[in-house]
Amino acid sequence: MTWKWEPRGEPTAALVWGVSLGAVAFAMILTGILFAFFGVAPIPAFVTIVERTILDARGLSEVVRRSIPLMLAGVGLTLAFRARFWNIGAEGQLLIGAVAAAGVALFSGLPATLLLPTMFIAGFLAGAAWGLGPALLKVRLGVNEIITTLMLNYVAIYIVRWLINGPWKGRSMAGFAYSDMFDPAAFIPTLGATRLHWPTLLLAILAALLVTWLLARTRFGFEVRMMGESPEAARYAGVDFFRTTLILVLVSAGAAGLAGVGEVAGIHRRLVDPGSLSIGYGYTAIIVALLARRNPLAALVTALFLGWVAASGDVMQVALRLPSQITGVTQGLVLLSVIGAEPLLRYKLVRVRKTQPPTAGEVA
Amino acid sequence: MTPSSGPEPQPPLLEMRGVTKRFPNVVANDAVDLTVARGQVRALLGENGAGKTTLVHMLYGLQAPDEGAILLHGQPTRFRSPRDAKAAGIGLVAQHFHLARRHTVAENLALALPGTPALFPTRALARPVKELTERYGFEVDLTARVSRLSPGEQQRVEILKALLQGAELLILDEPTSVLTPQEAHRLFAVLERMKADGKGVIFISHKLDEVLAIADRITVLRGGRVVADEAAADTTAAKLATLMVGREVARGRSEASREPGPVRLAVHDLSVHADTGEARLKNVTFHVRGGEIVGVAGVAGNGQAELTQVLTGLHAPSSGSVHLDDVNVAGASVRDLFARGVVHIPEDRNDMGVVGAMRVAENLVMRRHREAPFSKGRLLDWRAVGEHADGAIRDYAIATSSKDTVTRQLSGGNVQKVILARELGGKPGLVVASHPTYGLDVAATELTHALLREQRDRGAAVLLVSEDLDELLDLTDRILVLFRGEVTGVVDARGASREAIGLLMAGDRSPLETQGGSLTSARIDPHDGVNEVSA
Repeated sequence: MTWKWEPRGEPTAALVWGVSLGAVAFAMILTGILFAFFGVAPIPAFVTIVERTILDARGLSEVVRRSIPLMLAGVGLTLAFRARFWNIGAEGQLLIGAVAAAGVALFSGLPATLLLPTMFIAGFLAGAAWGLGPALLKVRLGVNEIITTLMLNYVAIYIVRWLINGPWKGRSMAGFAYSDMFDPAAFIPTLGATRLHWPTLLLAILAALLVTWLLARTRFGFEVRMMGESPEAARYAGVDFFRTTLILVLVSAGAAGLAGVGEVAGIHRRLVDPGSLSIGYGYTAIIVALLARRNPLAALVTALFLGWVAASGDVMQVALRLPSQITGVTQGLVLLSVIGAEPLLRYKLVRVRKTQPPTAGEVA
Repeated sequence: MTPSSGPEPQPPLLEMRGVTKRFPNVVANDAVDLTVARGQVRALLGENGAGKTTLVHMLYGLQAPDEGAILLHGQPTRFRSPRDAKAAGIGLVAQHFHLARRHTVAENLALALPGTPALFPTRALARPVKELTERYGFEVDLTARVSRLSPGEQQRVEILKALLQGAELLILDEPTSVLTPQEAHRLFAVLERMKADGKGVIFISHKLDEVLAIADRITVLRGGRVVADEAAADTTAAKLATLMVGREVARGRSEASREPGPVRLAVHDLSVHADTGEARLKNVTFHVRGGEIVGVAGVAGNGQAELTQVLTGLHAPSSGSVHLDDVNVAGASVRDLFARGVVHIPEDRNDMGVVGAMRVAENLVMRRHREAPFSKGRLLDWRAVGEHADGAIRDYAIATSSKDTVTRQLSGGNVQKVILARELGGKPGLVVASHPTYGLDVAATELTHALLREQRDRGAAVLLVSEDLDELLDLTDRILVLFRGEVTGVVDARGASREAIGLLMAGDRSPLETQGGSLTSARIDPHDGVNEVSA
C-alpha cells in the first residue's frame, strides 16, 4: 500500500476554508507544544487565553482594537497582492501615516471639527506617497518592489525616531522621546473605557467593502486582476500598467497610512517610538492578506484572528509568564502552516494498491 | 524503410500490454497495447487529448499505470521516476527542451550524466561525445552556450544527451515543430542511423506526411484507445487522418470568393530592435489587401514574433511605417490598434490569449471590456458580459461546463475558440494570427481555418504566421518568408513548392533567381518590391 499525490480541479470555497482552518489549527497545536517546552500545560493555557480574550468583554475589545490596523493594512495589501505587487512596506506606510496625522494634530491649528478628518486624509496621502516611489521604480525601471518597499520601512522608522528625539520632541515629556500629547479634539473616540477606537474600525470595514467593489465591479479591478494573474495577457489586453499600478499602490499604501492614523490618534495620542506605535502590524498584515487568500472581506476575518493572536500574546506574557516573542513565533507558525498547506488545494493524497511488477532496478 | 514483420525470435525492445491510466473524469489510456522492436521507428499519432502525453509519461516514469504491464526486453518493469526510466535505457526528447540555457553544451551534457567527475566534468565527455557525433553524423559545438543555439541545434543536444545516458529507446515528442524542412531531413537521417544500430524510436507527431516518411509502424490513438496499429507501407495520409478524427478530413485549398480589395495594411521599410539593441526585423516591406490571407513563413525566431508584436502594438518599431487603411499607426498602443480593428490571435494562447485563472465569460470580453455594452462608464456590466458569453459559447461550440468555469480547465482547442470568438466576433479589419492551430486537434484546426477564411471572405486583411507549411499553402494567397529578420521572398501560394519555401526559410534566395528551373513556382508579387538578390 502506498500513498500518492494526484492533482485535483479548481479548489472549492469549502475546501479553501477547510484547508485554511486546518492549517491554523495545526499551528495552534504546534504553539501548544511550544507551551509545554516552557513548562506551561497547553490545554489550561489555551483555556486561560480564551477566557481572557474572547469570554471577557475588555479582553475582546483588546482583540478587536489589535485587529483594526491589521484590517486596514491587510485590506490594502489584498488589492496590491491581487496585482502581484508585493508590497512588504505596509509597516513604513503605516508609520508615515501616523507621522502625517501627528503633524496635523500638533501643528495645524485647525478647528476641532476639521482636525480628525484632516488627520485621516493626511495619513492616507502620506502612506500613499510612501508607496509611490516603489510603484514608480517598478513600472518605469523594473526595480523589484519587495526590496524597495521593505527598505523604506527602515527609513520610516528612523524618520519617526528622529522626529521624537529632535524637532517634534515634546516639551512636557521630561526627557522621554515622545511628541507632546495631542489636543483632545485630535483623539479618535473610543468605545466606553476600552481602547477600541470604533471610527477607525468602521473605516476598515468600509475599506474592505470598497476594495471588494473595486475588484468585482469596476474596469479598474478587472484590469488589476488581469495584471496579477497574467501580465502578458494584460499587456495584450491593453492595460495601462503605469496608471493601474499607480492607483492600486496609492490605495493599498494609503490604507496602511490610515492604520497609522488609528494607532497614533486612537491609542497613543502622541507620536511615540516606532516600536510601540506599531508592533509589526504592517508585517502581520501580510499574513492577514495571504491567509485571506487576497480576498478583502476575508481579510476582516483573518485580521480578527491575528488580532486575537496579538492580544493573546499580552495574556501569555502577563498570565502565563511566557516571553513576549511567543506572539511572533505563533504568527510565524500560522504563516508556515498556511503556505505549507497550499499544495492540499491543488493535490489530493490517494491510496494506491501495490500490484505493479517490480521496478527496473529490481529486474536488472 | 523496412517494415518489421514476421515472428520475432527475441522479445521486442518495448512492449506495453493493456496499459490503462485513469484520471478524475477521464480514462487517458484505455488498455493500450504498443510494441517497439529493435531497429524500429514507431510513430504515435493522435489528436490532442488522445492520450499520447500520458503514454509517454508512463514510459518515462512520470506517472504509474493503473493497470497493465510495461515490458522491456520481455521483462516486466515499473518506473518510479524518470531516473529509473533513464537507467533502463529510455530517453525522452521533450517538445520543450530541458537545457540550462546559460551554460555550454558540454556543461549541459555533463550535468545530465551520472558519474561525471566533480572537477573539470566536461573533459571526460570529449571522447564519448566525439564517438557519438561521428557515428550519427551530427555536428555539435560543445563550447557554445545553449542560448546561442538554434532550436534544431538544441534538439541535437537533447538527443545527444539521451544517447550518452545510454538510451536504447528514444521518445521524440513533436520533434519537427521547431525545425526547417531541411533540418527535419537531417533529423530523419540521424534516426535512420539509430535504426541501423538497433535502437528503437517512438516518434510523436501531428504531421502525417512526416510520419509516413520516417516510421515503420504507426499507432493511432483516439480517446485513449489504440484505433490502429499499421505498417507505414500499407497506409495513406488520408486513412490516418480519418482514423485520428473518426471522419474524413477535407484537405486542400479554398480560393477566395472574390478578388482582393484595396490595400489595408502596408508595411514599409520596417525595422525593429530588441532591448539589447540587436536588430530583429530589417527593412521589411509588404502589404496585405482586404479579402486576402498573407502567410508568414520562417523558422521560429527569425522575426515573426517581432512582426506580430509591432503590428499589434506590443512592441514599438525603431524605424519604418505601418499604414492601416492609409493611416500611419507605427508605434500605436495595443488599445489604439484594437480600437482601429486590429485583432490578434497570439502565439502563446494560454499565457497571453487568455487569463487562465479567470472565468470563460471574463476571457470572452477581456480586450473588449472597455466597449459598450460591457462597460458602463468605469463600471462593468456583468449581465451583458454573461449574455455575451452565452452567445459565444453557443455560436463557437465552446466545450465548457459553464461560462463561469475557470478558463485553464478548458482544453487547448476550446481555449483557442474563446480567443477566436472574442477576436473575430467584432468584425475586424486586420487579423494577425500567430500559429493559430499549433497543438490543436484536427477538428479545432478546421474550425480555425474556416473562421480565417470567413474573415477573408468578408473583406478583412489576414496575416497568418505559421510554421506549418501545409497550412500556409492551403490557406494563404501569398507567403512572405522571413530569415534573420529580413524578407527573403514573397511567393504566390498557388503552386509554390515546399522546397522553394524551405530554401528561402534557410536564407537561400536561389529559388527567386532561378528562371525556368524546377523552383520557379515561387513568384514575386510586384507590389512588395523585394530587393533583387545580388549573387
